[in-house]
Amino acid sequence: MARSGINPISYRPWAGKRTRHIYRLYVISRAVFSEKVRSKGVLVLLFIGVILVHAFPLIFKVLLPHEGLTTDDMIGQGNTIFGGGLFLILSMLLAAVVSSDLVSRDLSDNSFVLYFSRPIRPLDYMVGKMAGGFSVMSIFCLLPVLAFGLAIIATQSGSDYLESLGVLGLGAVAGILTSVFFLGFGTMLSSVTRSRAYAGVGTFVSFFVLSLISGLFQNIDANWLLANPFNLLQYSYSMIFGKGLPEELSPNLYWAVISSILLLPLLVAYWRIHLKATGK
Amino acid sequence: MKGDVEIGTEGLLVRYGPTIALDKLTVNIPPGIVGLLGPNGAGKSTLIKALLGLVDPERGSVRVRGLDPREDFVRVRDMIGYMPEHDCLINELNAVRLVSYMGQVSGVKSGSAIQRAHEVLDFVNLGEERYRQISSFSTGMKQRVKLAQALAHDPPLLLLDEPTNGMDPAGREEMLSLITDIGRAGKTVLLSSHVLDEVQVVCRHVTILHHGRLRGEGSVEELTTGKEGRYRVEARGSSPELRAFLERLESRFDVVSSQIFADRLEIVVDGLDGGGDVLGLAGPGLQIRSIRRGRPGLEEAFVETIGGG
Repeated sequence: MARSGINPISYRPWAGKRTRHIYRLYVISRAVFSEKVRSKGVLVLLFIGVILVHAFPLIFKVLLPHEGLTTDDMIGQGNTIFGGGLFLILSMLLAAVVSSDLVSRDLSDNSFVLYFSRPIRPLDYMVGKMAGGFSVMSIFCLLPVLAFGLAIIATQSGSDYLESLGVLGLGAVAGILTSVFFLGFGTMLSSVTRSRAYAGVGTFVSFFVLSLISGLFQNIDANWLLANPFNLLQYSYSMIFGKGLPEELSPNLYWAVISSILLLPLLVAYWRIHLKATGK
Repeated sequence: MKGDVEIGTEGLLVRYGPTIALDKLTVNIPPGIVGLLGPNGAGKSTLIKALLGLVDPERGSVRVRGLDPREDFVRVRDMIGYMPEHDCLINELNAVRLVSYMGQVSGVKSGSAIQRAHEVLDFVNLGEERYRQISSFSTGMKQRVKLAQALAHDPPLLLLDEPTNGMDPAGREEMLSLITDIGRAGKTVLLSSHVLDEVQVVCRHVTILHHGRLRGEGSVEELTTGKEGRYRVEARGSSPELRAFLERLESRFDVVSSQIFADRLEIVVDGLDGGGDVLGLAGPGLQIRSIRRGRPGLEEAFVETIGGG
């Protein structure tokens, strides 16, 4: 047997030291992040989102005299970050684009085996992929919130910086919740189809259908408002910023719905990935 | 398990529902290039999954260089490079990015992963195409990239599943040459293949599975060495004469295999003292064209092993 070429290249061993296991997860998330931030669709959404949602409240609040960062700067009417529907719609669109091929591409390319023949468990894979998606979502849902809050704190006339920082912390929690809320759902849909388009459109359509169902039944029972994901997030912001739920809603039902919508998609995605890891 | 065993299983029982994939399998795979043979459904893929710790055995144990793949999963999988049979490459990436990425997932630092990717892509002889998107690659090029990604972290054990699948004859020869080079570099290679000629060329040891059980193992030399008294006989004549001759042989000796092609008969017979035994049984209208001492090819040894109960 002869290999082609006058002097075929012989096998060279590698003498480096292996990285720790946790670094492998970082490699997966970094690959997702670097690919997504090069995507034109993601860049356009991020640009439009930051300009329309975050820039105006920032300019408006910083220019007006203010004593500190308050919860009214974050939610409520007017130029607030979490108050407007645009933030939620753009977050959902961004999650649809970011999560559409997180898992579906590996389904369509059969490339799970490349990961699972390496020291990657289904949970590692999911954490790595979702961390990458989360870091992209954070560019819209978390970082501008922090920038907004810090800018207001930096220009505040009052001296209670601790309270302002507390509100900033709550804003960070709300931003993280928004990212995980949409990303988890998108990842679940990405894990059940090989088609990136189906996963992306499916995320959008699912939320739209849930909103319609909520709209149809909310006159019968106000608790049906919780079936609308956008309402659900708005109520969650109210809870986070200490404003509580509207009286007509059941708190127990709220906790049941928000827990389900956060956890069930992750469980479904994990189950699907686990099946693939064992070759089923 | 013996000291010179790289991979070993002991009484390994794996079920998929009611189907038994591995039936109390005990195998000992020594260092070097080892062929893993068996028909479809023999349990080859399940054995590979068990080595990677991807299946839950109902009973028994697996050891890869003395470690349990399920308990020491990071160390075991860092020791293994796996080249799957089917298409599995990420089509949107180019070869350098894919191999570098998979190297990093296997623990190569990002700084040296690109250099390592180029080294292994040079080794598998993938030229400037390495910068093209994998979706545009031919089957042969994809097979090379699959081998390269398995080598990206320089594992001491390689599991190669049908590495020459879909390749042209020149590509096959080159792939076998690469595998031989890898074996010379001191790695243990478990080569699962249906192409027995290839296994015979590159492997020094063979493990044969059938219905999830071990049906044979040993060096290629042992499996293909002719038994004492084994002869290959070729005869010509009319079909009835050939059949009568075959019946006479079967009544006296152990006929290992026989094939009748129109006016020609090819048989392998055990237990002969010499060619005279055959000549004595040939009828008047029959021509004995050749009587040779039998040294079976691997294919014949395989068929015999599988067919032997």
